[in-house]
Amino acid sequence: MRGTLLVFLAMAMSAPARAELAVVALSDEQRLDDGAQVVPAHPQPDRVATVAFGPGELRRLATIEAPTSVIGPPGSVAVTPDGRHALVTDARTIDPADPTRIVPSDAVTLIALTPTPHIVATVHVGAGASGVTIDPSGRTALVASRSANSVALLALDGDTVRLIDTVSTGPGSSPAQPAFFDAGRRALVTRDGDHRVSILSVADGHLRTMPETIVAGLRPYALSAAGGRYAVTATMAGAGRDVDSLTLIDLAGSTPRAVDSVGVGLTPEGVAMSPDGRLVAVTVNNGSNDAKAAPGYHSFGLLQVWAIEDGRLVKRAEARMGSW
Amino acid sequence: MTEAMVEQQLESWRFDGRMLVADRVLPLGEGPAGLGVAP
Repeated sequence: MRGTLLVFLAMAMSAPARAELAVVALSDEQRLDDGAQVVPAHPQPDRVATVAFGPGELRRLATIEAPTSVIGPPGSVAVTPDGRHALVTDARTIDPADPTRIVPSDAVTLIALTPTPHIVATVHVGAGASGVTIDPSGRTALVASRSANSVALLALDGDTVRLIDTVSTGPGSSPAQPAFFDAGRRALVTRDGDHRVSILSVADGHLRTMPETIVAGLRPYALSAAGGRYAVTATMAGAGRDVDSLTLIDLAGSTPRAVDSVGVGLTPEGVAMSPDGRLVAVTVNNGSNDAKAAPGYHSFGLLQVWAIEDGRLVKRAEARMGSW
Repeated sequence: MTEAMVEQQLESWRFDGRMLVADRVLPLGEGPAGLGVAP
């Protein structure tokens, strides 16, 4: 399954005192027809919207045209720590030679968010540019390229972005989502093509893959790391029929390792840790993107909250939410 | 039934430590494909 979660969570794990800014990528290049993904005859242009959210507030501020993709993980947008810029990837785009097909794209767009959103730069990385993450300093970013089987290291400086290094994750690895940890000195990247999570080091403008990898279930895809001690990844192997899992990765020590895994349902496409690293939110497609006749079909998705307690994932809450 | 299956909306939720509480829904009219929030 390559679909992307179409209902998102903007969760205030601890209620913010003021409105926060979210950046949403919008794409019309794929639609669902009773479980089948189809390219519409006349899709709307890709767009990026800014949204203000906080307690009792969820408001669209501005929308601009910018290349985005519905294919790939929901982490295709990253905002700098100062909230002034966003990076947006474009994993797939409509084939100019055949508008019934979508083909890999390599574009990453830098958008200045103030005073109103506008594109300031574009950089090209490996084909299938998907998950993106920005380090805590706001000076570097990583982009996983699923078709090129590589991860790109970008340098950010205000309105400029440069490609400074690229590493391969191996043939067929299909890297999907990177996440920094260790104050930006290391990162993880999920590889849903060959069922591994890579450990990367970042130093002096260079990116290096560690020889050790993490086994975190079949087809690890979404990934989140926060709080310094743990990361979580969710698998996408069940294809909307078989149950998928959420895996806790302990980041302590020289080699992170998977320490717990729990079943969460059909296709947990989005995961997000609370900033303090104590809670994990998971959005589960729950078969809502399947054909109505499929055994796992439901008309709604699920939102779950898990707590991290003594190195274990403990379910705290679940609610029905919108469908894929 | 193309498109009718897709919830083209953004949802915000609160977690009070015990329960998930639906807060707001923002209709988008277009397919949301990615989300980023300033850390």
